[in-house]
Amino acid sequence: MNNIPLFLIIIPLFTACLILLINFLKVPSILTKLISLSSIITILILIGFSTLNILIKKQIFIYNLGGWKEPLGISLHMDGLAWFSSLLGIIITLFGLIYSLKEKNYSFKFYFFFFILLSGMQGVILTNDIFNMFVFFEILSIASYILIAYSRENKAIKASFDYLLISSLGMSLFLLGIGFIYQGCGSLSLTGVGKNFNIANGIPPSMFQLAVSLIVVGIGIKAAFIPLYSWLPDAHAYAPTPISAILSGIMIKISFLAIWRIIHILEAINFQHFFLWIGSLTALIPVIWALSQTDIKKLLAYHSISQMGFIIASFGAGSSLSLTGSLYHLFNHAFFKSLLFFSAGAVIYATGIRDLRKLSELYKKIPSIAITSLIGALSISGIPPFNGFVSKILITTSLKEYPLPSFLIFLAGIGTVASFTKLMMIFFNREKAIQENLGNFSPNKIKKIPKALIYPLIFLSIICLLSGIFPSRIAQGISNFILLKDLAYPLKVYSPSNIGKSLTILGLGIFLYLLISTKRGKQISLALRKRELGLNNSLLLVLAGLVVFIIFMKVL
Amino acid sequence: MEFYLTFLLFLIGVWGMITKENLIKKIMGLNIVDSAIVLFFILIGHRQGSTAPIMEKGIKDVVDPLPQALMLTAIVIGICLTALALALVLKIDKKYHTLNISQIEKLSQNE
Repeated sequence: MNNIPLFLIIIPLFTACLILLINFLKVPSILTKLISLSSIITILILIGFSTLNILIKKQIFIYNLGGWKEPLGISLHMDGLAWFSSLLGIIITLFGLIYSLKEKNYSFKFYFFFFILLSGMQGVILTNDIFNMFVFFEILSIASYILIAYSRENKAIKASFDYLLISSLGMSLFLLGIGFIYQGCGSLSLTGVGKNFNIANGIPPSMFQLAVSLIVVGIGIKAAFIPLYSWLPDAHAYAPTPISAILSGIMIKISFLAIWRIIHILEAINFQHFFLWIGSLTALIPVIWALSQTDIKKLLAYHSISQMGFIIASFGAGSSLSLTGSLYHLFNHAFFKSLLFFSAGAVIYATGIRDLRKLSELYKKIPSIAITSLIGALSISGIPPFNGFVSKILITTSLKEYPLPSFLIFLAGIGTVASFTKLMMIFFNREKAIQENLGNFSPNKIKKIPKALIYPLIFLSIICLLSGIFPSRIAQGISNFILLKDLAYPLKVYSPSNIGKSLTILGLGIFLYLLISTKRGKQISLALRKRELGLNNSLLLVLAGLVVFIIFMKVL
Repeated sequence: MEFYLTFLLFLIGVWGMITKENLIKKIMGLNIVDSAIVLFFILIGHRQGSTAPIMEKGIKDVVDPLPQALMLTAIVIGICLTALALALVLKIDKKYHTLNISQIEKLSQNE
């Protein structure tokens, strides 16, 4: 049983190699797909086997690589949090794989890098060695750079290059942070670092602050909070659809969970509180840009950042309820965001158009996609009875003591509703798009959507609904089994006041949508769209972010 | 003293990444940052007057071998990244016919 963590990393790597081998032997490509599917299902079964031991018996699987024990060797740990994120990652990847199977453009190279990405993801989650974590982060990143550029369109390559430079700078900062930690305590395993690397053990405070800031900013570039997110919209928007869903659905969260673990191990409580502010700003600011977007996938990408803001802010509050809310929202966001990306991908597949303004009345042509998108949009906007409602209520309840962050989050919720109303208009509006002289879009050209694209959408919609209907079970489960804490007070999510709150946000959001669809609103949107940060400014912002973090650590 | 010089090297690399307009120079900046970090790690493990950690008879005073082992990994990763980045630059050059970042950004916005 203890070697399950090892298999979770090895199986995808092995599959990747096998796919290469099969291609050299010129075997029909259906075998590639079969092997990919069976490998992911094997991993799912392995995680299923470990459920009982990890969640009920509270056991931690520890595997020492090469037989070397902890302070010297690298070990893999699988505890509740790792089990949770690993399972979430595998489920989203499975849906991504099913979605990509029907696409003919994806050659064996796509599946090769797909599995390298999966392996890197599992590695980051499971490893208990900070340098090893760096290596897995790099594996994950290199695979994702290649997958983002996979379509070889101009913008995709540009986005991939931007991401590469920004993220490499971040990884260098992370490595520098590891250097300080090693200098301070002579240990690299997270357990050893937690024991020895703290101010009480004679580490100079300035060194501790510097190391924590470097590490948080380094990983934070992948977790995309303010001011480090500028690479994300392009990279997630121009990647192939299954990859967009995986990047938005799970990769940014895995980076965030790595920060979560490191902050908990280093016991940087002050720092955790800082995330309350970072998170609430991250929730609000990208929404403003999201409102102005006309590209379907770019709008969704901006919302990924914004929803990460909800998760991060709730993590920053630090009580057991808010941590549960944070994990719950992380879980929900993984599902509804991949649902939305898959739906957007299906719309683009069917029509060949990714500009919101050119599409209208799609409800009649592709009703199934319209319904799944609607479910995704209701979930992300926090409308009962879908899952986004539950986790947003948990988050707002737990942030009650902090008036300003909860106000920012309230505003972000309104913006979310408005921009998803805008998105939904492509299905339900009657207005002819031709008015804006954007070229004719003839409804007859719509391609038929294959079933393989629709099955993942249906499954994801069902999950979105189910995790919204049984809120207290899941919340209790998360807090008891994964965070190992009891929820402070009984939950009552579906109370009239909560539903009223969500309906208020809905009303205000629709009002905001009407405002931005006026002529003046469209002018402002155009001006905002043009104001995107270039590569140089994004790199500069990384440094500025680092300075802000260091100063903040000094002040507290 | 050595630490300050390494830090200076790091800053030079970051400066190159941020201010240079040419994509290849930006990648060079990234490489300089990587080298600075390698030097930093080697300095962490270094002690005055000690020898390389090849444990034969009679050798007592050795430097810490772990940072050196870590840096071997980091250098390999750095090479992979550079190769990938240069490959992407090649593609960018084919599509946009320029390597100047501000021109590329202007072109990609007008698309």
